[in-house]
Amino acid sequence: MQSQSQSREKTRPARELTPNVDIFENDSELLVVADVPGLDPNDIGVHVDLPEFRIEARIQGSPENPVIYTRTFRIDERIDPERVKAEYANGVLRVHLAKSAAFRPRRIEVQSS
Amino acid sequence: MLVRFNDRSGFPVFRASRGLPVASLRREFDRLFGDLERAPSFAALNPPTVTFADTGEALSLRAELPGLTEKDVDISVTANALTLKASRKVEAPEGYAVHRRERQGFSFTQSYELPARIDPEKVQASLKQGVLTLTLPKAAEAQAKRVTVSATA
Repeated sequence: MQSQSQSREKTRPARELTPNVDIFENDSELLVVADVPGLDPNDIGVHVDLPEFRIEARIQGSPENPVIYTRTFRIDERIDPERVKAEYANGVLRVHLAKSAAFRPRRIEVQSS
Repeated sequence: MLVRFNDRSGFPVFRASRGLPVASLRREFDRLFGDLERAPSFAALNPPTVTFADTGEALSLRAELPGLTEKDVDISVTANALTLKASRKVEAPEGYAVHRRERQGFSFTQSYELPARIDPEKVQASLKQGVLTLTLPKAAEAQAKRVTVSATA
């Protein structure tokens, strides 16, 4: 891909689309839901690179008009980068970002004396 | 509410809500300030993206409908018109607090006048990963015919 772009004059970069997202949170995770229709699941990249979290996907279409969905979010140390899960169905991407154990609410039992 | 099939000047310009000067001004501001105003009332005006093509033997339609399944889409065709209905509801999952909501539900109905007669029996539709693709084969009489030029001596 790199060599190809060098051999050809680059006149038009890929058109970048910003998908609409919903962001939800519960005690154990952040849930990011994005509208990214028409993708092959293999072309979707979910990158966690603290303090950033990025969704990036290339739409398979005509090579003359490349289109990329991209959206970057800032996350903090409450998210465990090792425990990020993503699923793609009906053109909607759902990313589950689990919170680190230390930042999940824990119920404390009150001891009766 | 018929819209010309090949109208490239933007999508349903004939809708009352879109035609109002206030609405178009809003849209202009929305475009200028981009992300600032992704408020529900603004985004709700945005219909799904629909594109058309004429491949010679057939007309085709592509609509982006993320989150929809077959049962959310209703298509009816005649020899020269197409009606597309689609709706989606977006609900917050149970037990989650909401941080940001940009994805909108919609209820969309649009009729299109087709530029060529088609064969309604042969129309094919598929919905794959939120993209609806319709193939509308042209009727035999609407197919391009090759004219042979005969030389006269």
